[in-house]
Amino acid sequence: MRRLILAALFGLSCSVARAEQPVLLHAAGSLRNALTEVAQAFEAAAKLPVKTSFGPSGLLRENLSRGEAAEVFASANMSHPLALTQEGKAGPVVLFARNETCAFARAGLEVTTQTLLARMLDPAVKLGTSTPKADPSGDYAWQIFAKAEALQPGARAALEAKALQLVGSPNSAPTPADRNGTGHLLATGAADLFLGYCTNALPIAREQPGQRMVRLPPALAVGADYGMTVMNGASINAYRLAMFILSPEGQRILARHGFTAPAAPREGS
Amino acid sequence: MAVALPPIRLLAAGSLRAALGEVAAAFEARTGHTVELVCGASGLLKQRIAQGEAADLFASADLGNPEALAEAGLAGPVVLFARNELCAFARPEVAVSPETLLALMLDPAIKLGTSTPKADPSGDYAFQVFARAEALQAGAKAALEAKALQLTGGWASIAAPSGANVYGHKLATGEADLFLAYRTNAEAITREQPGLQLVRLPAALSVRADYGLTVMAKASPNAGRLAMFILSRAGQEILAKHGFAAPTLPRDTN
Repeated sequence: MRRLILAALFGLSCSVARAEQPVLLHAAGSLRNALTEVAQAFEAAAKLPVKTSFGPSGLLRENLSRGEAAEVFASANMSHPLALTQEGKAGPVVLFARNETCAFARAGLEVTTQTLLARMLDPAVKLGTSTPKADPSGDYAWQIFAKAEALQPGARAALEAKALQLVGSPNSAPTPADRNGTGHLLATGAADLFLGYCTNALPIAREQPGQRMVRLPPALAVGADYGMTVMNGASINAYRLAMFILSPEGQRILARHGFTAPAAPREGS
Repeated sequence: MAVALPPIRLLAAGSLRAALGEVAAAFEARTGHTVELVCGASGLLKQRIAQGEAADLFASADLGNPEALAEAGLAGPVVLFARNELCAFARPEVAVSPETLLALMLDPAIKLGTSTPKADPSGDYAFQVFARAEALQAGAKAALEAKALQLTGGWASIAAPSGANVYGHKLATGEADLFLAYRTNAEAITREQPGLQLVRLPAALSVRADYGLTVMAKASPNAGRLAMFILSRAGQEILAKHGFAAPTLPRDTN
């Protein structure tokens, strides 16, 4: 009997200790759907809870740099996690996903890959982007503008001047939590055309019929390498989550959400 | 007084010896942690770990061996960290091209070397090449399996003189005329045994190897950090330099 009670107490204390220490995952907003699913798969496989917080990578990086408790940081670029490494706050940075930048058009806007730059420059077209520096998505939009300069002198300054920075900064008006932000901005008329990640295509197709994704012409294409790091002082469980994100199961989930998954095994292997 | 931490024990496939040796040295230089690199045939290493040999990380020439440890609860998730492919190495006097390779492999006068299946993924991959040959020529699989000399990768295999590439050594001594082995041997073989030839497998026979990395369940966070370093740009650049395809190497612009 006594042994039974002891066993029960021991079991209880173990489960309490586990429940008290979730693995902390900070991740770019563009990873919300994919990494929420990866975190759930990890919880089921490893029997370890995960606490996620999503936001623009630049803002997350500032918070982590200031000392916010964190273990795994998954960014929409390589440079934000590399900055934490260089500050001596995090370990090596690993590429775990790739994304591309696409344009999304409101229902009814006439635009193709060939006419995209002309429509972006058209004064009658409201061009939405995220916020550079705070959010890598904004940085990538600015890289597109710089590439446009090579096709059409003056394009860069014109695009930077007209771009509406609608999301990604602490001052941005919030978009509904249950809907894709880009789709929402196009549906409400805040923008006619929006430069964002191609991985928005799936939720937009589901939530906003009529809106369209437009591929950038090769001369304007900008690719995004997503980097992940584990913060100094993190538990071994944090490394386990990082490895899970890079494992075939994690990579398959990222691929299903439209990312290029570099560490996914070949089919059939 | 600082207490010296125990070294991080990295058990790795023999084909990774040179590359991970360099990665480990770079990690030691950056972090001050020491790494103990132990190399062997992946299947044998898996058995040793399952039987209780101390290990913090396991870098295997396939995904199956580390996944077996993960399923047994001994290791965490398995990550594909490098790719390799099988090719053929030939003695200088053997006239061979990708087009004539299969005929030569089947030629009774040619001694065909492979590693040992099950014990060493390199042997498994060679036998996969044999299975693919069957589609090109009926009966080829059985003929190749029967004639293949399993010269490396087994418990009882005779090692090469210390420091020498084992496949180059087996070809140089005439134990084999043709050897199916990883492409990443090319650099050492060319350096140590000038005259030996490398022949790419024709597309219909080609077999690629996905290498898997895992952190053992009881390892310290430092082992996790070494795993991340192997997957980082610095680690992946070293693997690429040694002839591996490095899946998590970022674009140059980053």
